[in-house]
Amino acid sequence: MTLPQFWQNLFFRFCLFLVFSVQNTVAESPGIIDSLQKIMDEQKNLFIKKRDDLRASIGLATPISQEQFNESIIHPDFIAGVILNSAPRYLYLLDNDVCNFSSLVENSLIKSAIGSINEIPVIVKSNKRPFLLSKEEFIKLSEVKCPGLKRKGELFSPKNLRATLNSLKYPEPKNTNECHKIVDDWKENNFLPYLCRIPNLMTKGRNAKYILEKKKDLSLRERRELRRIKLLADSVAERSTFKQRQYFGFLCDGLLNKERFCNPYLAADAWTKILNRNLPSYLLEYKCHSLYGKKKISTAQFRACALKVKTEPELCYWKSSRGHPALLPANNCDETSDALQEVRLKTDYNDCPGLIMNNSLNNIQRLYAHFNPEAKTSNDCSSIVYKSLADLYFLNKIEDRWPLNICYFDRIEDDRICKIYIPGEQDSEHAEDKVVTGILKRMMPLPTNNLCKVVTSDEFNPVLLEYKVGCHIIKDMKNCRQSPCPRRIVVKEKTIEGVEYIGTMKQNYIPSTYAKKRFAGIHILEESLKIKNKSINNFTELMVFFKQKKKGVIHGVGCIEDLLPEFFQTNTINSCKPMSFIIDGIVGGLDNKKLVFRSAIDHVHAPRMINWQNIFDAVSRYRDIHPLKNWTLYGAF
Amino acid sequence: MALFKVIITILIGFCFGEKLPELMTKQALQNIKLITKDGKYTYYQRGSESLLLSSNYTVKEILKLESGSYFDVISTENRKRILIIADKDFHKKHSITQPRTIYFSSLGSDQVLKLAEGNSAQLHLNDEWASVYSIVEKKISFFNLSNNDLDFSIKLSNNFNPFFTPKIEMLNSDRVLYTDINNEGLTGLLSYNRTTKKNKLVYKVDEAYFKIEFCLHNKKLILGHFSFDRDNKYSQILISDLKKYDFKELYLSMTKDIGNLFCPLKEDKVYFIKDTSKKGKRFTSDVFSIDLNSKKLEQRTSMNTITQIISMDGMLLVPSKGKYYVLKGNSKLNTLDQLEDN
Repeated sequence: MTLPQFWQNLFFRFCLFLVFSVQNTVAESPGIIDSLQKIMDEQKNLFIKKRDDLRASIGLATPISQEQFNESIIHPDFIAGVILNSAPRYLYLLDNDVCNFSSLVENSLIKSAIGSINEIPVIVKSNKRPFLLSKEEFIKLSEVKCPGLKRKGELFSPKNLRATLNSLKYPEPKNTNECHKIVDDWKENNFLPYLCRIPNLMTKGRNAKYILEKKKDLSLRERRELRRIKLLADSVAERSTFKQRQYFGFLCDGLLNKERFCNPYLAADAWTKILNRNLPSYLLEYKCHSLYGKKKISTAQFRACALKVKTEPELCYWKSSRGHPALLPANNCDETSDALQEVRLKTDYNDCPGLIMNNSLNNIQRLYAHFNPEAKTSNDCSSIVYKSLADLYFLNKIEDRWPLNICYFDRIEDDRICKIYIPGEQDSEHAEDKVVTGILKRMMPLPTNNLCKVVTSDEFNPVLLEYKVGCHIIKDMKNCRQSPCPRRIVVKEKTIEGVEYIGTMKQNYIPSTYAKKRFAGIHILEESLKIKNKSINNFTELMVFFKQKKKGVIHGVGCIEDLLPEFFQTNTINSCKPMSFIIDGIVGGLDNKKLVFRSAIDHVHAPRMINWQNIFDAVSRYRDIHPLKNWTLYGAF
Repeated sequence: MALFKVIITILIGFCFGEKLPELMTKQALQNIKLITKDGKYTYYQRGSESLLLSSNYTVKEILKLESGSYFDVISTENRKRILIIADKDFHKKHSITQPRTIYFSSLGSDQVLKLAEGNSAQLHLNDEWASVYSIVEKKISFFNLSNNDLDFSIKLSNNFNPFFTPKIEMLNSDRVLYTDINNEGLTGLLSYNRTTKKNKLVYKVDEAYFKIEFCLHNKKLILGHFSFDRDNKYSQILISDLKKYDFKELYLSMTKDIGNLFCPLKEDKVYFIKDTSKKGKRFTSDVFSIDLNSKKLEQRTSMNTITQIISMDGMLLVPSKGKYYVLKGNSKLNTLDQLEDN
């Protein structure tokens, strides 16, 4: 049985107290554990009394010589107070090196009975003469017995902190034995008290910030002290990276209990790794948005969300992609976690394949976002696809082939005019909201200068005031048989006639004729992003590709009945629904290797795992019916 | 020693299963859409625009669409009618939800009529009826192929999975069984009465990771309850009459079977794809059958890679590694004389 941490600490102090109480002058012995607080209070009062007595008897002006200091000991009552009031993990450092005491004092990692240590009482052994030394004086005098203290202090001074931290190595464990050894090695490192000061100061800084914000009745002195701590913490934060601060946080927390250091690194789930910033946060962020039904969540909610998906794996079947239609059910959160640990596709956006009729567009957009992660995306999950595609057309200088136009009769020009548009609200002059607003302004006086809003037929509610005024472009989701869905323009409750949407996105993923090869999605991607596509013919080539091309992903087209046979049954010979997909990782051991896979109709944050055999069968069957008989599996890099 | 060799050979054959014969056809296999088991009719695609019917040494183009089209031909063991699903954007637009055009015809006839737009289609009740499901409209339309006054439709409530396609069977011209998904993602089997226009829930799964499949055999309902979830493996096949829906278990396994149930017309068996993976090893699957009377489970293939069962005019085919293997029926359709036996 293990006691909870609080009781472990208390019990530890209790045991130490029993040892030290022999030297103490406490009249009453402790009886039961719940009287420990009383004992600690008595210790505090005793120390204050002794310190005051000492001050009165020796006077602060009396100096101590180096010789006297060398043969002195720290007052036992003071030591007892330190042991009772300091975190046990730092006290254990004294086992390895007594000089660590000075370092712990210097870095404010240990406390006396009255709190922060600013004065240390010592007794000269030969004549029992007591001295009360300031913290600085004590550290200075300790230099003789503990050479190197001054140098360490300089290395960790604000001036040198960044360089010192950057010169250190931060080994991350791969297994438990390795992890325990890493902690043991760090315990031998006499920089440790200086390193543990960093997370300690971060905690103090956070607390100080909180108190400063929340507590209004602080005295001037208290406020000044809290500001000093906050500034100090900010200064250390500026000179260190998050990863360094986090590493020492785990390490110093795990000095007594090694698992506290090991668990974050050896955590088997993606969610913990995301919290520890070992995996990108966007892998979880969009799931949390769906689970909380919010577009933004707080840090506390994010942490709670990670715990939720870790403990309730069923949340990932569909709830974690709610509002973003895709093939359901997705894998449970445990299986998703296994897949996410091996993914390399950059996916800092949300998508909704269920709202895109031409599923190849999703795959093209995902590859575009992977190789061009800086590209501006849209907030609307379906518009993001059209924006990416438009970017590719413009980059590739084939905008004249962009098939989507809005046409109207311009009375001023006395002619029918067509303008290209990118569906949705976008950061582009060709964005649908801007194009429609521009056209309407030439056709009629508009009620406001605001842009027309693009909404779905499910969102549009003419009863609500917000839809009674202004201009709305309504996507007809119920009759959506093409990409993009049909539109209706409503200005002040009146449907506008004479504005016609022309064209659909019949964008090929791979070429079906030699003549149109350069307009296929795969070639537009190659040309625009200067990427290469290498044919992947077997599993060995796939493994070699992933090994050699660290940022490369594999993509292709195959029959969905072979890719996902549990979802798509067929009873007909040569029946095939072609589906594009991306493979961006391998999981499992030698006999059980699986590929991390997203079909174009899977949610981008819900990868599945499938066998190579499924990919091979799917691509083989598609090759047989493809007009050019192409093997449609590529490694893009 | 010779006897020992024979025993070893038999044992190896028993352990690893006999390899199924590959389907051989006169036409290039990838163009074939349907060959009848007697070799009398062959429907095949030419280029990326035409569907042809070859019969009695004559070839007729029965459907021609724009370049880039693709055709599926659906038939049943009743051999009366066929359905053709034509996708004119097959290579241009990869889409599950894009409606395709459904045509129908009598088996062997070159007269093809347009029926509807939709995503999947099926023949029912001795090929007298056809159902077409439209993913966009979430609607199953039933067409009487002789009298369109009898046509009717059912609207699904599924708002959960945008790519869901229901399983559908007609019990008679008034009663339909079909699957649907509720707002919690739970799949149910519903019985629709056309006269009363009311639905009755027949069976419902209790978790979103389960799916329901079903087929009919001799006035019995065979229902499969399979899991999508790696950590909740469960497969069950049940049998019931069509009046009281009193389900009895035919098969239960804590494996993640793919399912894809198939009930042949003339055999008291149900075929399905079963998970045959060994613990800690890669996923493998094969075709199994269950005898509806004795409940005997029988492994029908030993290829480890089978995920679909295809029925073609009474023959059973299994696709694997880009080829088709014959599980039941004549594998050498290339040797059959196509002359009509009048």
